[in-house]
Amino acid sequence: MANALFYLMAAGAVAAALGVVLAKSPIQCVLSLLASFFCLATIYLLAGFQFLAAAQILVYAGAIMVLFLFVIMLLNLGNPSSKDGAEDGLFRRKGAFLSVIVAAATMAAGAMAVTADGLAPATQPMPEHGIDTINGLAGEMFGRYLLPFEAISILLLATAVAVVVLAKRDRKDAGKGS
Amino acid sequence: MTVPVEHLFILSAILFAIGTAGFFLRRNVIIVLMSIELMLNAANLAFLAASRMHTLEAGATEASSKVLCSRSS
Repeated sequence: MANALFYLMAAGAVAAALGVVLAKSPIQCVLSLLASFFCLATIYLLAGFQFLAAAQILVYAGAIMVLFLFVIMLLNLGNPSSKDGAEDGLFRRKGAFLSVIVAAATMAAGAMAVTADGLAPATQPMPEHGIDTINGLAGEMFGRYLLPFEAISILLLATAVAVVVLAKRDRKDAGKGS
Repeated sequence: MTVPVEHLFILSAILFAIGTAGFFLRRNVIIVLMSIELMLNAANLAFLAASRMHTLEAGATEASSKVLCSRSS
């Protein structure tokens, strides 16, 4: 039952991801991405990562998707832009070539992962409260991984400062230009 | 769920490949950003699969902190 649900959700995630890449209008892309995130959250839940599933819904589906929708609607990008489908043969061919190479490399890595005999089958019984309990997660994050955690917070601070600097400079330039 | 870990890795690889294709093929900046989000999710899924394989907390911590810190992107 859970296995069937996993394969269903995997197919849904892949189909929705294809929808992100192939859809014409940005709104359709956002909604496909949302569907993909929900499918992935279900997979996380099935694999026993309850906190990760909750974070996926709250952070990705809740915050980031709303951000994308706001940007698209406020900047009025909802119509399929003519530039997106522009005939730019060289760029298209180069992009297709690159993506085929990367896809082939990724799939080769996946095939190697399948054929490697170091992989243990994950058939252990699942803990009732999931693998990533809040207690265990907090203990690891603020104990063993305290330094990477602080490094990430410094990175986020630097990003926020950079965003403010870039946004202010943009506005000043626009004011100068008008 | 008793799905072999390999299938999680394969799903992650497929999602990453689709995200890469979107990154290279679409011109719209928003859609390029969404393709990057797709690739980030594929990486999360790979972390999760590795964590499940080793049944350690390490992968879960890493994936969870990646989810949390990608809030900024």
